[in-house]
Amino acid sequence: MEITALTIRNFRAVKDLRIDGFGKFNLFVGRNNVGKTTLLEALFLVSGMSNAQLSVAIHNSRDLLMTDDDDFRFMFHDLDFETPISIDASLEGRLRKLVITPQYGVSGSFQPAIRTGEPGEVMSGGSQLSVSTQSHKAVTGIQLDFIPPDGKSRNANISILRGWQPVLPAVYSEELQCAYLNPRILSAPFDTIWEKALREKKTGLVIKTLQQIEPRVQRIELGTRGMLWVDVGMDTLAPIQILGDGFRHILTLIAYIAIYEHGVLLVDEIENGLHYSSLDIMWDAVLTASQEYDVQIIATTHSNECVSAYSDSADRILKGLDVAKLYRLERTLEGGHKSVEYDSAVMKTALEQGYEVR
Amino acid sequence: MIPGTIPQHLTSSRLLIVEGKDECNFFASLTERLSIRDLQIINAGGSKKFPKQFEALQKMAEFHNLTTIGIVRDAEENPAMSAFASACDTLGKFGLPVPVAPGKVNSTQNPSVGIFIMPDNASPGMLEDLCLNTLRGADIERCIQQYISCFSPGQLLEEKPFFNSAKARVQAYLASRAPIVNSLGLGALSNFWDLNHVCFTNINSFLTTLFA
Repeated sequence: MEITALTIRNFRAVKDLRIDGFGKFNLFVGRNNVGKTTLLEALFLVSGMSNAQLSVAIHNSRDLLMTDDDDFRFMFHDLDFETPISIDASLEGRLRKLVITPQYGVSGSFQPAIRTGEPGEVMSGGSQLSVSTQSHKAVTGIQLDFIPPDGKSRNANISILRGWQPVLPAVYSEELQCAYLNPRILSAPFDTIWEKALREKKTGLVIKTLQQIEPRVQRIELGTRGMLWVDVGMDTLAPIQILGDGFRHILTLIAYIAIYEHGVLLVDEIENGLHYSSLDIMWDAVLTASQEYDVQIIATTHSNECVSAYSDSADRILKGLDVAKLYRLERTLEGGHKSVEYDSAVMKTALEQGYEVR
Repeated sequence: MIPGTIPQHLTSSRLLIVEGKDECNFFASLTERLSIRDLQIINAGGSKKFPKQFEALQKMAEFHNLTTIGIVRDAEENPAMSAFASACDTLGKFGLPVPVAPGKVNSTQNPSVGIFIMPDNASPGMLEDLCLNTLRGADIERCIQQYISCFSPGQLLEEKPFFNSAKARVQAYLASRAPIVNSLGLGALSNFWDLNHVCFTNINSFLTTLFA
């Protein structure tokens, strides 16, 4: 199942952005702070729109620990709760709609404020004191109103004040599998994801893909205390760490691709931590595995070498299939956002000519 | 793209698009002689590659900053109108203004756009033909002709597959210069072509009108 179009309104720094014609493989570039991570977060939220906890997870992934419901403000454009967030996605013609609004409660606080020259003031001892008798409207969480492809409106909500527990809709099961990876997840120990791959009997194909990178790898075993052991044909198994960070980075990506079969994988800064000479290997493995497991890839990068490796791998692995696209996110002069799309052929031409695509 | 190379940006609001790296050198020399400043010259490939290369070019982030676009293309073996129509099609596809005829400038919209078809906006040919015109009647022209004739007695070189008479003559001319260079553009940078020659009047006029 593939995401084919996305519209974001009033989410973080993005006031308005529409992207049509996503491919099977999509790599986003653009300046710092242009909204690449925000785009992935929007896709993540709309992919799992019944799960209100994702709204907290996307902040955690930015190392932004939420301590108060007012912190949900960080999701709203210009930090303004009054403008609802709207994210629409089309999955092969089936529309999903998500609208996020704040939930308000009454704080009941009595808030005197020093003001001057306004109606309703009372004078006291020469100073001017006004007293607001209105209750203070406090945000006590957010509500997610969503319409999945079945067209039936549902909602979920979450409140930090009420103890983080999301209120999820009854009788709704999400049909789209989606994972969001960032550099921290890609460099973290991956015993949990490997265990999941083991449980789902998907390690065989993962090993087969990895053997294209490192032919000596025969199997990977889960040890105690999160240790992973790799059989590279020696007398004893070796800790996975001996194969280096690059190999683990690629192994993590492939394991996620296997587990999220028929789903969508969102990867922020996919090249992070990899030497440029490993980028061809990474993309060959990602494209091969994604085709094998029918997974759509939507990733971001800052690296021109990563874009070049992506284009070269698309040439090698996809053999003329025009399903690998490059997008550059830009801010418009009017303060909005737009994406500039390169199909495989134009991406290749631009890189051959040495044109800046980022 | 070769790892470690710096990607090319559009650094000027005035762009001259030519078809080949060597043409970049030639037009750098010509525009310098015309005192045209603040101009970026960029290679967008030959006729077959031009549509895709222009598409890649117009996707660059700075493209919308352009105020003036000049395109110089070779007619090759076709009359100039064929290459002109093809270039206009490509411009039109991306919503850009098109000039009314080769050698003319459309400055009624932004960006201003002009297209020049080598060698003279009418005849088949290429930049090499224009440069060879500067040798007309000179001793060297006879020497080049003798060399070409001597090279293949009894057979017209023009009948050989892939033979390009103009390019061969340019190479023969450059071989007679010192220090030797191996391309037309490098020849221009070495002042081997008389850029004041009357045969450059049309292209000079075009460039001056567009980028004045």
